[in-house]
Amino acid sequence: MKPGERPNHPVELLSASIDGEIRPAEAAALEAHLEGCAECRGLREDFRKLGGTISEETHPAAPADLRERILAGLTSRTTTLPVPFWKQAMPLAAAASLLMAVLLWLGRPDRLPPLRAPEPLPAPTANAPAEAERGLSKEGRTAAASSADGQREAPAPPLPAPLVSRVPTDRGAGKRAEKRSDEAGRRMESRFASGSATPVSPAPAMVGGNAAPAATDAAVPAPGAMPPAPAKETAGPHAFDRQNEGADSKKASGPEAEKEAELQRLRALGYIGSEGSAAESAAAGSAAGAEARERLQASPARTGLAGQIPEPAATMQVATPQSPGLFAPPYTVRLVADRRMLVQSGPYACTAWVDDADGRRIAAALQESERVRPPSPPPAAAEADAPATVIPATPEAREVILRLVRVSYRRALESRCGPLPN
Amino acid sequence: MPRMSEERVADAPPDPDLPDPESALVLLAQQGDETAFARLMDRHLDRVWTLVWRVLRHREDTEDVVQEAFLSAWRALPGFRREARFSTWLQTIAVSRALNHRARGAERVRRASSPFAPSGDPALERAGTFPAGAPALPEPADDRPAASPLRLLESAELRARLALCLEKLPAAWRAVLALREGGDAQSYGEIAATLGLALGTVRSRLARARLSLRDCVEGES
Repeated sequence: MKPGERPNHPVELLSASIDGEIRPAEAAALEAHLEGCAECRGLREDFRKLGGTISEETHPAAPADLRERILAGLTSRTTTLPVPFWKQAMPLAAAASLLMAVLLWLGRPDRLPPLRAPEPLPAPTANAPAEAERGLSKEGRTAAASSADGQREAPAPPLPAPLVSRVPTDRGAGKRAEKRSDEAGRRMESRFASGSATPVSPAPAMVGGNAAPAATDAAVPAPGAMPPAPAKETAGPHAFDRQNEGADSKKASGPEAEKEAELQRLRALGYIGSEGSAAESAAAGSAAGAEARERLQASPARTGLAGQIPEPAATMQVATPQSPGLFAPPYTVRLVADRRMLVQSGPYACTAWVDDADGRRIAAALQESERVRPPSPPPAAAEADAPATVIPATPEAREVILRLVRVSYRRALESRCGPLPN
Repeated sequence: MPRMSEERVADAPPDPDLPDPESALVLLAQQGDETAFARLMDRHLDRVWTLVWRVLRHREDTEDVVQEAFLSAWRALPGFRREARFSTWLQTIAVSRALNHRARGAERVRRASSPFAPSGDPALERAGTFPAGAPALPEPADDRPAASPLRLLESAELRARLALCLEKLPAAWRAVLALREGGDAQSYGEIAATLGLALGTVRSRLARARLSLRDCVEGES
């Protein structure tokens, strides 16, 4: 008999029996064999003893620096869930088409009269230059200049005075203006391309010949400012909204529903319906917009623009938005429109723009927490004013949220809304 | 790695109601969150280290393989579909890396020879674990007494012999033994899932490994 072989003994059954991985019929047969086979009984004992000794065997510990070495070897792996190319390109194409239509309309040679009579222009407001700077691309500015200087054989839609006055008069000024407008154009295009419905678009003001008086920087709605008109839904939902549909499944679908939900959120956050004259709103909006633009240009990647909620004290009634919130004590965090997160803690409430990766993190944390502890359905009776769903965060999700709020976006939040409650 | 340099927030208090907090970490790590992956590694590093060491029984090789396994897991995480447990998936990678490492030529030269005859298991023979010229153990007498000396060995002596014999055992057998006897006591089904084997193969391989080990320890006495 060779070592490792027992041709006449049920070694496999013996081995399986000590692991409890044996069928009843096999067990009965094995027991019958063991009654008359001392060697097999000995084998079974030996197997047990060997198993115990193996499990108690000591081994060298892992080197202390192994963990750090592994972490140092992690290469950056930014994973994006696959989005078809055409879906990525469509918002950009839509934005480009819209821009081209506006430019063609503005720069057409025959100076056709507008289809409908131009409405009287309101008086130029303080924020109109900023809006023009934001909205006009290089070509747009050229078209505006030619429109202003060209022969007016036919009644053309009047251009807002600030636009005409900003036509560069010297070469250097022209280059500076072009640079500014290029930057603005890129920002606008990137917003369209990313699917954001941020209403930073020159189109409504220019096409209609009607410079909206309260066109504040949409990213930073000011106290009392009118809500920015939601842009056309050409861009569709945002990328991480599409990718994490489960996380935001409460959101109503369709452009009208989204528009209504957006208005509701803005109203709930105090962006709409506050007292104050239009002029105050416009001035505040302009100031906020200028400040936000400065910050965006200083650190466009991470800083984020925070929408300030006025008087973040107990005086403000913060109605709860409809989007589901993730309760990561002491904060409740929501993803709201325009790629912003809303952070609430007691009377404190503040929003900040989050980048795509962090948006996905929040959505994933929300999704996971919801999966682990599904929220109870809201009462059917109060749909409009139903308390928003708040889902307790799992410990891991809470850590993610705390890191985002306290580390990644602390500066953005505190620069707008004061010290973050801890 | 910007995420790793950020300050770590305090751990949240454990919540007994949560069935599997690891799944959130896995989800985040799949999306590229290195902090989440670091937490996963904290949970599994010791277990993977022990498993790989039990297969390779060589400290430096184990270091290399464990490092490879985690980096490989990080790269492959986006494709992890969460149908299996993360620990099973990770152990599959680790054992696979360990066996591949074991099969490399330099490793074969360095290793001690195996006293065991080829078992007829094609996977083992492909792995090249039976180098020629292996010194055979003395042929035991056919009238082997039923009372094995193994049971009479002092525990220190038994551990020493067991360590020597485990070195000589084919690595693929050690992998099965490590998963079954390594403390976790995985079921045959789990072992089969981890190693990608049929249930019957797990069962027969464990039996062969145990018998060979037993005979080796006894033969050394």
